[in-house]
Amino acid sequence: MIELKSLTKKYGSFTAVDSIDLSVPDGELFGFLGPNGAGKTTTLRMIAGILQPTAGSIHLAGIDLAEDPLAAKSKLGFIPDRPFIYEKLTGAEFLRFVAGLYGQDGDKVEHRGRELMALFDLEEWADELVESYSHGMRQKLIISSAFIHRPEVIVVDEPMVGLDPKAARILKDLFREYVKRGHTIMMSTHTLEVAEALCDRVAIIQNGKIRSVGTIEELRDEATGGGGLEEIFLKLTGERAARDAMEVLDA
Amino acid sequence: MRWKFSMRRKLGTEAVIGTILPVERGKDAAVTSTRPPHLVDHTTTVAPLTTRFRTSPTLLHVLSPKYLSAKARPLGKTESQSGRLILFLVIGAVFWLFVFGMFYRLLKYFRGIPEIGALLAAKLLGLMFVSLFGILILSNVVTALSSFFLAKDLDLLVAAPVDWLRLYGAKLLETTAHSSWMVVLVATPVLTAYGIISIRAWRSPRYCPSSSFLGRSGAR
Repeated sequence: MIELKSLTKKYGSFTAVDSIDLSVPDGELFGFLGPNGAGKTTTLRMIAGILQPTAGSIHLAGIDLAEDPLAAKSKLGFIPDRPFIYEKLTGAEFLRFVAGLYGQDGDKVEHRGRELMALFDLEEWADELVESYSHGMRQKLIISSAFIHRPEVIVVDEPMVGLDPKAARILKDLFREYVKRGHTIMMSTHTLEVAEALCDRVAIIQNGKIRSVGTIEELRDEATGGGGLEEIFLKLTGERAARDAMEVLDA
Repeated sequence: MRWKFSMRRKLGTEAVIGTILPVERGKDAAVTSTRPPHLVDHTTTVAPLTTRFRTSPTLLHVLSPKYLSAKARPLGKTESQSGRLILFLVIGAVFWLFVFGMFYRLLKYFRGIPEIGALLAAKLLGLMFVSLFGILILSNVVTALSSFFLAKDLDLLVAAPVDWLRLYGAKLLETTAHSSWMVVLVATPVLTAYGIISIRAWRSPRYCPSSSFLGRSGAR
Protein backbone atom coordinates (compact mmCIF):
# COMPACT_ATOMS: atom_id res chain seq x y z
CA MET A 1 0.00 0.00 0.00
CA ILE A 2 1.23 3.49 -0.86
CA GLU A 3 -0.26 6.53 0.82
CA LEU A 4 0.70 10.09 -0.03
CA LYS A 5 -0.69 12.89 2.11
CA SER A 6 -0.29 16.53 1.04
CA LEU A 7 3.01 15.62 -0.61
CA THR A 8 4.82 18.74 -1.75
CA LYS A 9 8.22 19.41 -3.26
CA LYS A 10 9.49 22.91 -3.87
CA TYR A 11 12.72 24.05 -5.52
CA GLY A 12 13.01 27.65 -4.38
CA SER A 13 9.89 29.37 -5.62
CA PHE A 14 9.09 26.60 -8.12
CA THR A 15 6.63 23.98 -6.92
CA ALA A 16 7.40 20.68 -8.64
CA VAL A 17 4.81 18.67 -6.71
CA ASP A 18 1.89 20.52 -5.20
CA SER A 19 0.14 18.90 -2.25
CA ILE A 20 -0.63 15.49 -3.75
CA ASP A 21 -3.02 13.15 -1.94
CA LEU A 22 -3.04 9.61 -3.26
CA SER A 23 -3.78 6.17 -1.91
CA VAL A 24 -2.82 3.02 -3.79
CA PRO A 25 -4.26 -0.01 -1.98
CA ASP A 26 -2.83 -3.52 -1.87
CA GLY A 27 -3.35 -5.55 -5.01
CA GLU A 28 -3.52 -2.57 -7.35
CA LEU A 29 -1.42 -1.60 -10.34
CA PHE A 30 -1.56 2.17 -10.41
CA GLY A 31 -0.55 4.25 -13.42
CA PHE A 32 0.94 7.69 -13.10
CA LEU A 33 0.60 9.72 -16.28
CA GLY A 34 1.40 13.26 -17.20
CA PRO A 35 3.21 15.47 -19.68
CA ASN A 36 6.98 16.03 -19.46
CA GLY A 37 7.94 18.05 -16.39
CA ALA A 38 4.59 17.42 -14.68
CA GLY A 39 6.23 16.07 -11.50
CA LYS A 40 5.95 12.29 -12.02
CA THR A 41 9.60 11.43 -11.51
CA THR A 42 9.92 13.86 -8.59
CA THR A 43 6.97 12.16 -6.88
CA LEU A 44 8.41 8.69 -7.48
CA ARG A 45 11.85 9.74 -6.23
CA MET A 46 10.27 11.08 -3.06
CA ILE A 47 8.45 7.77 -2.57
CA ALA A 48 11.77 5.94 -3.04
CA GLY A 49 13.33 8.11 -0.33
CA ILE A 50 15.83 9.72 -2.70
CA LEU A 51 14.32 13.21 -2.43
CA GLN A 52 13.16 14.79 0.80
CA PRO A 53 9.62 16.18 0.53
CA THR A 54 9.15 19.86 1.41
CA ALA A 55 5.88 18.95 3.13
CA GLY A 56 3.53 16.01 3.52
CA SER A 57 4.00 12.36 4.33
CA ILE A 58 4.60 9.06 2.56
CA HIS A 59 3.51 5.69 3.95
CA LEU A 60 4.81 2.48 2.36
CA ALA A 61 3.10 -0.75 3.45
CA GLY A 62 1.77 1.19 6.43
CA ILE A 63 5.17 2.54 7.52
CA ASP A 64 5.92 6.25 7.60
CA LEU A 65 8.96 6.86 5.40
CA ALA A 66 10.05 9.88 7.46
CA GLU A 67 9.70 8.12 10.82
CA ASP A 68 11.31 4.80 9.96
CA PRO A 69 13.02 5.11 6.57
CA LEU A 70 14.92 1.81 6.81
CA ALA A 71 11.81 -0.26 7.54
CA ALA A 72 9.81 1.55 4.84
CA LYS A 73 12.57 1.22 2.24
CA SER A 74 12.97 -2.48 3.00
CA LYS A 75 9.40 -2.97 1.70
CA LEU A 76 10.13 -1.15 -1.55
CA GLY A 77 11.56 -2.08 -4.92
CA PHE A 78 12.45 0.93 -7.06
CA ILE A 79 13.12 0.93 -10.78
CA PRO A 80 14.35 4.40 -11.81
CA ASP A 81 14.05 5.90 -15.29
CA ARG A 82 17.83 6.22 -15.60
CA PRO A 83 19.13 3.25 -13.67
CA PHE A 84 22.70 2.86 -12.50
CA ILE A 85 24.53 -0.46 -12.52
CA TYR A 86 28.17 -0.93 -11.60
CA GLU A 87 29.86 -1.51 -14.96
CA LYS A 88 32.57 -3.80 -13.63
CA LEU A 89 30.21 -6.17 -11.83
CA THR A 90 28.69 -9.21 -13.49
CA GLY A 91 24.89 -9.49 -13.64
CA ALA A 92 24.92 -12.17 -10.93
CA GLU A 93 27.19 -10.09 -8.69
CA PHE A 94 24.92 -7.07 -9.08
CA LEU A 95 21.82 -9.05 -8.08
CA ARG A 96 23.70 -10.51 -5.10
CA PHE A 97 24.79 -7.00 -4.09
CA VAL A 98 21.26 -5.56 -4.28
CA ALA A 99 19.84 -8.50 -2.29
CA GLY A 100 22.55 -7.89 0.31
CA LEU A 101 21.51 -4.24 0.61
CA TYR A 102 18.13 -5.56 1.76
CA GLY A 103 19.80 -7.96 4.20
CA GLN A 104 19.18 -11.05 2.09
CA ASP A 105 21.67 -13.67 0.99
CA GLY A 106 22.08 -17.42 0.78
CA ASP A 107 20.67 -20.16 -1.40
CA LYS A 108 17.20 -18.66 -1.76
CA VAL A 109 18.59 -15.42 -3.17
CA GLU A 110 20.90 -17.33 -5.50
CA HIS A 111 17.96 -19.39 -6.72
CA ARG A 112 15.73 -16.35 -7.15
CA GLY A 113 18.49 -14.50 -9.01
CA ARG A 114 19.00 -17.42 -11.37
CA GLU A 115 15.26 -17.65 -12.04
CA LEU A 116 14.93 -13.92 -12.67
CA MET A 117 17.84 -13.86 -15.10
CA ALA A 118 16.49 -16.94 -16.87
CA LEU A 119 13.04 -15.32 -17.09
CA PHE A 120 14.51 -12.36 -18.96
CA ASP A 121 16.82 -14.52 -21.13
CA LEU A 122 19.92 -13.26 -19.38
CA GLU A 123 21.20 -16.63 -18.15
CA GLU A 124 24.06 -16.71 -20.64
CA TRP A 125 25.09 -13.24 -19.52
CA ALA A 126 24.93 -13.85 -15.77
CA ASP A 127 28.71 -14.03 -15.41
CA GLU A 128 29.53 -11.32 -17.94
CA LEU A 129 30.43 -7.80 -16.89
CA VAL A 130 27.55 -5.32 -17.08
CA GLU A 131 29.66 -3.06 -19.34
CA SER A 132 29.06 -5.58 -22.14
CA TYR A 133 25.23 -5.45 -21.72
CA SER A 134 22.97 -3.61 -24.16
CA HIS A 135 20.51 -0.95 -22.95
CA GLY A 136 17.63 -3.42 -22.94
CA MET A 137 19.65 -6.02 -21.04
CA ARG A 138 20.53 -3.45 -18.40
CA GLN A 139 16.85 -2.58 -18.06
CA LYS A 140 16.05 -6.29 -17.60
CA LEU A 141 18.76 -6.58 -14.96
CA ILE A 142 17.44 -3.53 -13.09
CA ILE A 143 13.91 -4.97 -13.16
CA SER A 144 15.30 -8.27 -11.84
CA SER A 145 17.09 -6.40 -9.05
CA ALA A 146 13.81 -4.77 -7.99
CA PHE A 147 12.25 -8.22 -7.51
CA ILE A 148 15.26 -9.99 -5.95
CA HIS A 149 14.34 -9.10 -2.36
CA ARG A 150 10.61 -9.77 -2.81
CA PRO A 151 9.34 -6.26 -1.97
CA GLU A 152 5.75 -5.53 -1.00
CA VAL A 153 5.60 -2.34 -3.03
CA ILE A 154 7.19 -1.59 -6.38
CA VAL A 155 7.64 1.90 -7.76
CA VAL A 156 8.70 1.99 -11.36
CA ASP A 157 9.53 4.90 -13.62
CA GLU A 158 9.11 4.14 -17.33
CA PRO A 159 9.38 0.34 -17.16
CA MET A 160 9.12 -0.49 -20.86
CA VAL A 161 11.92 1.73 -22.17
CA GLY A 162 14.43 -0.35 -24.12
CA LEU A 163 12.63 -3.67 -23.70
CA ASP A 164 12.01 -5.96 -26.66
CA PRO A 165 8.40 -7.12 -27.20
CA LYS A 166 9.04 -10.48 -25.52
CA ALA A 167 10.58 -8.91 -22.42
CA ALA A 168 7.77 -6.32 -22.35
CA ARG A 169 5.23 -9.13 -22.38
CA ILE A 170 7.06 -11.01 -19.61
CA LEU A 171 7.21 -7.83 -17.55
CA LYS A 172 3.47 -7.28 -17.97
CA ASP A 173 2.79 -10.88 -16.85
CA LEU A 174 5.16 -10.40 -13.92
CA PHE A 175 3.43 -7.18 -12.86
CA ARG A 176 -0.07 -8.69 -13.19
CA GLU A 177 0.90 -11.76 -11.17
CA TYR A 178 2.59 -9.57 -8.57
CA VAL A 179 -0.50 -7.44 -7.93
CA LYS A 180 -2.70 -10.54 -8.05
CA ARG A 181 -0.78 -11.70 -5.00
CA GLY A 182 -1.87 -8.64 -3.07
CA HIS A 183 1.13 -6.39 -3.65
CA THR A 184 1.24 -2.87 -5.00
CA ILE A 185 2.80 -1.32 -8.09
CA MET A 186 2.94 2.36 -8.90
CA MET A 187 4.11 2.92 -12.43
CA SER A 188 4.88 6.07 -14.35
CA THR A 189 4.72 5.76 -18.11
CA HIS A 190 4.32 7.70 -21.31
CA THR A 191 3.11 4.63 -23.16
CA LEU A 192 -0.63 5.12 -22.86
CA GLU A 193 -1.40 1.70 -24.38
CA VAL A 194 0.57 0.06 -21.60
CA ALA A 195 -1.26 2.09 -18.96
CA GLU A 196 -4.61 1.31 -20.55
CA ALA A 197 -3.88 -2.40 -20.76
CA LEU A 198 -2.22 -2.87 -17.39
CA CYS A 199 -3.37 -0.34 -14.83
CA ASP A 200 -6.34 -0.80 -12.52
CA ARG A 201 -6.44 2.94 -11.85
CA VAL A 202 -4.67 5.89 -13.36
CA ALA A 203 -3.76 9.36 -12.09
CA ILE A 204 -3.01 12.21 -14.44
CA ILE A 205 -0.64 14.81 -13.04
CA GLN A 206 -0.06 18.22 -14.52
CA ASN A 207 2.01 21.12 -13.18
CA GLY A 208 2.60 19.17 -9.98
CA LYS A 209 -1.10 18.68 -9.24
CA ILE A 210 -3.26 15.63 -9.66
CA ARG A 211 -5.61 16.53 -12.50
CA SER A 212 -7.69 13.38 -12.28
CA VAL A 213 -7.71 9.92 -10.65
CA GLY A 214 -9.78 6.86 -11.41
CA THR A 215 -10.28 3.88 -13.64
CA ILE A 216 -10.09 4.39 -17.39
CA GLU A 217 -13.92 4.41 -17.49
CA GLU A 218 -14.12 7.05 -14.79
CA LEU A 219 -11.59 9.24 -16.59
CA ARG A 220 -13.51 8.74 -19.83
CA ASP A 221 -16.67 10.00 -18.14
CA GLU A 222 -14.79 12.94 -16.68
CA ALA A 223 -13.28 13.90 -20.01
CA THR A 224 -16.80 13.86 -21.53
CA GLY A 225 -16.51 12.56 -25.00
CA GLY A 226 -15.08 9.07 -24.45
CA GLY A 227 -12.35 7.66 -26.65
CA GLY A 228 -9.11 5.96 -25.71
CA LEU A 229 -6.69 6.97 -22.99
CA GLU A 230 -4.79 9.16 -25.45
CA GLU A 231 -7.86 11.32 -26.10
CA ILE A 232 -8.67 11.44 -22.40
CA PHE A 233 -5.07 12.37 -21.61
CA LEU A 234 -5.01 15.14 -24.19
CA LYS A 235 -8.37 16.49 -23.04
CA LEU A 236 -7.37 16.52 -19.39
CA THR A 237 -3.88 17.94 -19.92
CA GLY A 238 -4.89 20.44 -22.59
CA GLU A 239 -5.16 19.28 -26.19
CA ARG A 240 -4.26 22.74 -27.46
CA ALA A 241 -0.59 21.77 -27.65
CA ALA A 242 -1.32 18.96 -30.12
CA ARG A 243 -3.53 21.25 -32.19
CA ASP A 244 -0.84 23.95 -32.16
CA ALA A 245 1.65 21.46 -33.54
CA MET A 246 -0.67 20.72 -36.46
CA GLU A 247 -1.12 24.43 -37.12
CA VAL A 248 2.67 24.89 -37.14
CA LEU A 249 3.07 22.08 -39.68
CA ASP A 250 0.23 23.47 -41.83
CA ALA A 251 1.61 26.99 -41.78
CA MET B 1 30.58 -17.99 -7.93
CA ARG B 2 29.14 -18.94 -11.32
CA TRP B 3 25.47 -19.72 -11.67
CA LYS B 4 24.22 -22.91 -13.29
CA PHE B 5 20.86 -22.60 -15.00
CA SER B 6 18.28 -25.34 -15.00
CA MET B 7 15.99 -26.13 -17.93
CA ARG B 8 12.91 -25.63 -15.76
CA ARG B 9 12.12 -22.24 -17.25
CA LYS B 10 11.14 -24.01 -20.45
CA LEU B 11 8.02 -25.06 -18.54
CA GLY B 12 6.66 -21.60 -19.26
CA THR B 13 6.78 -18.04 -18.01
CA GLU B 14 3.95 -18.45 -15.52
CA ALA B 15 5.64 -21.35 -13.70
CA VAL B 16 8.85 -19.36 -13.36
CA ILE B 17 7.08 -16.18 -12.26
CA GLY B 18 5.38 -18.18 -9.53
CA THR B 19 8.73 -19.14 -8.00
CA ILE B 20 10.14 -15.62 -8.12
CA LEU B 21 7.31 -13.61 -6.66
CA PRO B 22 6.45 -13.51 -2.98
CA VAL B 23 3.55 -15.58 -1.70
CA GLU B 24 0.18 -13.91 -1.40
CA ARG B 25 0.04 -11.29 1.33
CA GLY B 26 -2.69 -12.95 3.35
CA LYS B 27 -0.90 -16.31 3.35
CA ASP B 28 2.44 -14.72 4.14
CA ALA B 29 0.96 -12.82 7.10
CA ALA B 30 -0.73 -15.91 8.48
CA VAL B 31 2.59 -17.73 8.61
CA THR B 32 4.69 -14.98 10.09
CA SER B 33 2.33 -13.27 12.50
CA THR B 34 -0.42 -13.96 14.96
CA ARG B 35 -2.03 -10.56 14.36
CA PRO B 36 -5.37 -10.39 12.57
CA PRO B 37 -4.65 -10.22 8.81
CA HIS B 38 -6.06 -6.71 8.43
CA LEU B 39 -3.54 -5.41 10.98
CA VAL B 40 -0.46 -7.26 9.88
CA ASP B 41 0.87 -4.95 7.21
CA HIS B 42 -0.47 -1.64 8.34
CA THR B 43 1.03 -1.30 11.78
CA THR B 44 3.81 1.22 12.04
CA THR B 45 6.57 0.00 14.34
CA VAL B 46 9.70 2.07 14.58
CA ALA B 47 12.71 -0.13 15.17
CA PRO B 48 15.22 1.09 17.77
CA LEU B 49 18.48 2.52 16.46
CA THR B 50 20.53 -0.53 17.45
CA THR B 51 18.18 -2.86 15.57
CA ARG B 52 18.17 -0.59 12.54
CA PHE B 53 21.97 -0.52 12.52
CA ARG B 54 22.14 -4.28 12.86
CA THR B 55 19.71 -4.94 9.99
CA SER B 56 21.37 -2.43 7.67
CA PRO B 57 23.98 -3.94 5.31
CA THR B 58 27.57 -3.89 6.56
CA LEU B 59 30.10 -1.28 5.52
CA LEU B 60 32.02 -3.97 3.66
CA HIS B 61 28.93 -4.94 1.71
CA VAL B 62 28.25 -1.34 0.68
CA LEU B 63 31.87 -1.09 -0.48
CA SER B 64 31.93 -4.52 -2.14
CA PRO B 65 31.17 -3.25 -5.70
CA LYS B 66 34.32 -1.10 -5.54
CA TYR B 67 36.42 -4.09 -4.53
CA LEU B 68 34.79 -6.38 -7.11
CA SER B 69 35.18 -3.70 -9.79
CA ALA B 70 38.88 -3.35 -8.98
CA LYS B 71 39.23 -7.14 -9.17
CA ALA B 72 37.47 -7.24 -12.53
CA ARG B 73 39.84 -4.73 -14.14
CA PRO B 74 41.11 -6.43 -17.27
CA LEU B 75 44.81 -6.14 -16.37
CA GLY B 76 46.64 -9.35 -17.21
CA LYS B 77 43.76 -11.29 -18.76
CA THR B 78 44.84 -11.17 -22.39
CA GLU B 79 48.25 -10.82 -24.03
CA SER B 80 47.90 -7.11 -24.79
CA GLN B 81 46.60 -6.45 -21.29
CA SER B 82 49.53 -8.39 -19.81
CA GLY B 83 51.86 -6.24 -21.89
CA ARG B 84 50.17 -3.11 -20.57
CA LEU B 85 50.43 -4.40 -17.00
CA ILE B 86 54.15 -5.11 -17.39
CA LEU B 87 54.73 -1.66 -18.94
CA PHE B 88 52.79 -0.06 -16.09
CA LEU B 89 54.82 -1.94 -13.46
CA VAL B 90 58.13 -1.10 -15.14
CA ILE B 91 57.27 2.63 -15.38
CA GLY B 92 56.13 2.57 -11.72
CA ALA B 93 59.33 0.83 -10.59
CA VAL B 94 61.53 3.26 -12.57
CA PHE B 95 59.66 6.23 -11.05
CA TRP B 96 60.00 4.82 -7.53
CA LEU B 97 63.71 4.09 -7.99
CA PHE B 98 64.29 7.56 -9.43
CA VAL B 99 62.56 9.34 -6.53
CA PHE B 100 64.20 7.06 -3.96
CA GLY B 101 67.67 7.52 -5.48
CA MET B 102 67.29 11.29 -5.72
CA PHE B 103 66.19 11.68 -2.09
CA TYR B 104 68.72 9.14 -0.83
CA ARG B 105 71.62 11.03 -2.44
CA LEU B 106 70.25 14.38 -1.26
CA LEU B 107 69.80 13.22 2.33
CA LYS B 108 73.20 11.53 2.37
CA TYR B 109 74.71 14.78 1.18
CA PHE B 110 72.81 16.74 3.89
CA ARG B 111 74.02 14.36 6.59
CA GLY B 112 77.57 15.02 5.51
CA ILE B 113 77.25 18.79 6.02
CA PRO B 114 78.53 19.70 9.50
CA GLU B 115 76.18 21.52 11.93
CA ILE B 116 73.28 22.24 9.54
CA GLY B 117 72.99 18.88 7.76
CA ALA B 118 70.31 17.38 10.03
CA LEU B 119 68.47 20.71 10.12
CA LEU B 120 68.32 20.81 6.32
CA ALA B 121 67.03 17.21 6.21
CA ALA B 122 64.38 17.99 8.84
CA LYS B 123 63.29 21.16 7.03
CA LEU B 124 63.05 19.28 3.75
CA LEU B 125 60.90 16.61 5.42
CA GLY B 126 58.69 19.31 6.93
CA LEU B 127 58.33 21.03 3.57
CA MET B 128 57.42 17.74 1.95
CA PHE B 129 54.77 16.99 4.57
CA VAL B 130 53.26 20.47 4.19
CA SER B 131 53.14 20.04 0.38
CA LEU B 132 51.57 16.57 0.66
CA PHE B 133 49.06 17.90 3.20
CA GLY B 134 48.06 20.68 0.78
CA ILE B 135 47.72 18.20 -2.08
CA LEU B 136 45.66 15.87 0.13
CA ILE B 137 43.28 18.65 1.21
CA LEU B 138 42.68 19.76 -2.37
CA SER B 139 42.35 16.21 -3.64
CA ASN B 140 40.00 15.18 -0.79
CA VAL B 141 37.72 18.16 -1.32
CA VAL B 142 37.40 17.46 -5.05
CA THR B 143 36.93 13.70 -4.55
CA ALA B 144 34.48 14.19 -1.66
CA LEU B 145 32.31 16.45 -3.82
CA SER B 146 32.04 13.80 -6.49
CA SER B 147 31.65 10.78 -4.21
CA PHE B 148 29.19 12.37 -1.76
CA PHE B 149 27.07 14.43 -4.14
CA LEU B 150 27.66 13.44 -7.75
CA ALA B 151 28.25 9.67 -7.58
CA LYS B 152 26.01 7.68 -9.89
CA ASP B 153 25.39 4.94 -7.33
CA LEU B 154 23.84 7.33 -4.80
CA ASP B 155 20.26 6.78 -5.98
CA LEU B 156 20.67 3.01 -5.74
CA LEU B 157 22.14 3.18 -2.24
CA VAL B 158 19.80 5.86 -0.89
CA ALA B 159 16.70 4.02 -2.15
CA ALA B 160 17.87 0.88 -0.31
CA PRO B 161 17.57 0.44 3.46
CA VAL B 162 21.15 1.48 4.17
CA ASP B 163 21.74 3.29 7.45
CA TRP B 164 22.98 6.85 6.83
CA LEU B 165 26.03 6.31 9.04
CA ARG B 166 27.06 3.23 7.05
CA LEU B 167 26.53 5.08 3.79
CA TYR B 168 28.57 8.03 5.08
CA GLY B 169 31.33 5.70 6.33
CA ALA B 170 31.49 3.88 3.00
CA LYS B 171 31.68 7.13 1.05
CA LEU B 172 34.32 8.49 3.44
CA LEU B 173 36.52 5.42 2.98
CA GLU B 174 36.01 5.59 -0.77
CA THR B 175 36.98 9.28 -0.79
CA THR B 176 40.06 8.63 1.35
CA ALA B 177 41.23 5.79 -0.87
CA HIS B 178 40.59 7.63 -4.14
CA SER B 179 42.21 10.88 -3.08
CA SER B 180 45.19 9.46 -1.21
CA TRP B 181 46.57 6.55 -3.22
CA MET B 182 48.77 8.73 -5.40
CA VAL B 183 50.19 10.60 -2.43
CA VAL B 184 51.00 7.25 -0.79
CA LEU B 185 52.75 6.13 -3.98
CA VAL B 186 54.85 9.31 -4.13
CA ALA B 187 55.59 9.43 -0.40
CA THR B 188 56.70 5.80 -0.08
CA PRO B 189 60.14 6.09 -1.79
CA VAL B 190 60.78 9.46 -0.14
CA LEU B 191 60.02 8.17 3.37
CA THR B 192 61.96 4.98 2.66
CA ALA B 193 65.03 7.07 1.80
CA TYR B 194 64.53 9.07 5.02
CA GLY B 195 64.16 5.84 6.99
CA ILE B 196 67.34 4.29 5.66
CA ILE B 197 69.38 7.43 6.26
CA SER B 198 67.93 7.85 9.77
CA ILE B 199 68.58 4.24 10.76
CA ARG B 200 72.19 4.60 9.63
CA ALA B 201 72.49 7.76 11.69
CA TRP B 202 71.00 6.06 14.78
CA ARG B 203 73.43 3.18 14.46
CA SER B 204 76.32 5.58 14.36
CA PRO B 205 78.29 5.59 17.68
CA ARG B 206 78.33 9.40 17.58
CA TYR B 207 74.53 9.72 17.25
CA CYS B 208 72.98 12.44 19.37
CA PRO B 209 69.19 11.80 20.00
CA SER B 210 68.44 15.51 20.36
CA SER B 211 69.77 16.20 16.87
CA SER B 212 66.48 15.23 15.28
CA PHE B 213 64.72 18.01 17.17
CA LEU B 214 67.46 20.62 17.57
CA GLY B 215 68.68 20.32 14.04
CA ARG B 216 72.25 19.41 15.02
CA SER B 217 74.00 16.79 12.99
CA GLY B 218 74.03 13.54 14.95
CA ALA B 219 76.31 11.47 12.79
CA ARG B 220 79.39 13.40 11.83
